[in-house]
Amino acid sequence: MTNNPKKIIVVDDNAENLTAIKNALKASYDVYPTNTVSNMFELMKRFIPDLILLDVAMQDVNGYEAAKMLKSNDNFREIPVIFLTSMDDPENEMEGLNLGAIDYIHKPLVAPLLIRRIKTHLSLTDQQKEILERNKKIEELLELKTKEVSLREAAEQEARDASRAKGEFLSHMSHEIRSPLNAVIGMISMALETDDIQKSKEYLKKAYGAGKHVLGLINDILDMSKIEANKLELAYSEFNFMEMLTGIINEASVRAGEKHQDITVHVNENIPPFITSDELRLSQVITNLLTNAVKFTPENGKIVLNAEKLDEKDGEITLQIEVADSGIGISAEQQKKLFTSYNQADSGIAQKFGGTGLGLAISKRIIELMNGTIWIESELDKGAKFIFTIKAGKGQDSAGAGYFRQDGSGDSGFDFSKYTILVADDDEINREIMSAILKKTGISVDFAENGKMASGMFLKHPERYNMLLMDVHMPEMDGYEATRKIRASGLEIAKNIRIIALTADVFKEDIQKCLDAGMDGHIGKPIFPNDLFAKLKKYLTLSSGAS
Amino acid sequence: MANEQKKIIAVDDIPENLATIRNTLKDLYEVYPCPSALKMFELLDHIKPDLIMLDVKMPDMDGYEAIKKLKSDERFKEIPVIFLSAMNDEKSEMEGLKLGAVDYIHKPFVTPLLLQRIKIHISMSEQQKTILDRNREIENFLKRISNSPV
Repeated sequence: MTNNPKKIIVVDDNAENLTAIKNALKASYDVYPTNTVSNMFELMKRFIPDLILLDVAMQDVNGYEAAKMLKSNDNFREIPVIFLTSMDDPENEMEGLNLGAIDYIHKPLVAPLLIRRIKTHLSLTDQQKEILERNKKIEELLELKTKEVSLREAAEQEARDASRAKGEFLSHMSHEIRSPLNAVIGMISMALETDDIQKSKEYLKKAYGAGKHVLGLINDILDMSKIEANKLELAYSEFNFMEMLTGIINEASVRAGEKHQDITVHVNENIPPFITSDELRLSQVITNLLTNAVKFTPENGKIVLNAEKLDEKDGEITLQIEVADSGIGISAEQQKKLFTSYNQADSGIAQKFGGTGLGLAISKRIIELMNGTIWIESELDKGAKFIFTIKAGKGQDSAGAGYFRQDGSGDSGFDFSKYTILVADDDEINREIMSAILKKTGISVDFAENGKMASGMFLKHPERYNMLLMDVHMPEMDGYEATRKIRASGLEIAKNIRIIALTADVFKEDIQKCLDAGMDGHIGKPIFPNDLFAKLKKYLTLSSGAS
Repeated sequence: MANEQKKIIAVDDIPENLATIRNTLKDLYEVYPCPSALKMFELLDHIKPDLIMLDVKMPDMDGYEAIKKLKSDERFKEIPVIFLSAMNDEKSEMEGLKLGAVDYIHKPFVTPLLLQRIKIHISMSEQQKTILDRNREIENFLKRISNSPV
């Protein structure tokens, strides 16, 4: 098997015998002659021989005793032992073979036969060893493969579960999106049919609410797919914490008011007025928790929001925000699944209350990105308390120029009438919507139907405009090219004019593409008047500040 | 080891010898006495013995020829062979061992010694077989799972 000569220990108390055996074997084997059993064990501290040739009658310990000791020791029991003795009576031979020797050879020794027999036995033990080694290897391989298979099976099961959950989710979503869309279309067609202005307004108000609901669902689904692709990122800026919170509470209060619920807010004064975080995402989390609280709390229930600073170190603060309600509560079993995607605690809940069931999974991910955690304290029928922490930067008190409270009043405290803007959009309905929305503010608006027209109009009368709202996808010339053309015109005013993208492309890379083309900001479609006014005020003020 | 009796084919052209061997082994093994090597090969088509006891000197085909044929056949080469012969000279023993026998026992034999030596070799080959079977089983299993669709 191996090229190394096999090692054989020969034990005989007769020196002449030892020499004779050594001489007979040394050409084929590494022979270690020794005259006592104790010397044999000494030798075996250094190496394990491939075979032992044992005399029987010896002075210190006889061969039988030695064989017993060898066979009772785990380290030595597999070493083949051959007795080589002049005690050639059957009783002794029987004794030797019974003790586990593989052969019993009579003296005087016949060298070729001894060598032959040794060879036969070594080849048998080699075979055995080879099979055992092979066995060891494939047993290891088996263990590995078994693990692989069980991992694969687990992964397949997980994939099946996930696929089932997604299937259920899609069918649920299909229903969730179709229902409010049905309301949008139904309400609008009813509005079209009625001559009663009051009723028509009522229908349109409902259509507007349903439309906003669809948008929320789509945003959730997009957020979740970003999370699953590991692409959800935060955009940090400094903002006024209380103003952000006020905006959220105002909105939630409308819904809570409909159910006669009472929302109480406690903001600890230890929270600095300005913090650095992702305002939109933080709002999203708090809004989500408040929306859930309103949804799952019965009429006349109570909702409490507490916010406080837990810690501050090197300009970094830890905020803790809790939203507690007196609603239906969540069982321990339901809590386990609560923050997983596609899993509302109970599928019945989704049916009864609606929603994607993604809000908490999205919130959890956002909070984790903000180096925080979210947990829940709740019992069934005893209300629920959602608590989360985040790390945020401590802002400068003087900061906030350019920050405007979205107070829903549209044009309050700001005079739009002295400004003129150019809106480029190829879609007639969108232009009509913009015209109607902006009319309220008193701002002057010119419209262009594509990028070519927009850049032409601007470059013809650059001093006329304070700002451009630029759709991106337009025929003839898109918004990127129109922006680049304006920026490259060489006019000083064309370098500084605020150009804001107005587009349904809302992913981070889309926004970046707009900025790369030379635009100053981004407003996503669909447009909500209050958001639009806030952005207009922000950019117009920056424009006048800059000019 | 399995409780069922191991099978031994004993080959000797002298019926008395065959009877003696059979009587010696029959309590412990399933013995198949064969009057010639040729008959042994016929028998091997039907049973797979755990050990073969071969006489050396026989008409038609002697023990050496028989072992050569056994060792060159994939189906039989793993079966341990012990010579049991009255040819007690070194040369004959040497020849027998060289051809692949695991032992060479002289006639007249000492019954307990014969039984003990048979036991040693059957148990060794049994051990090997068990591991080989296990290996084959695992290899087949591994082959199956690597062929199975992922």
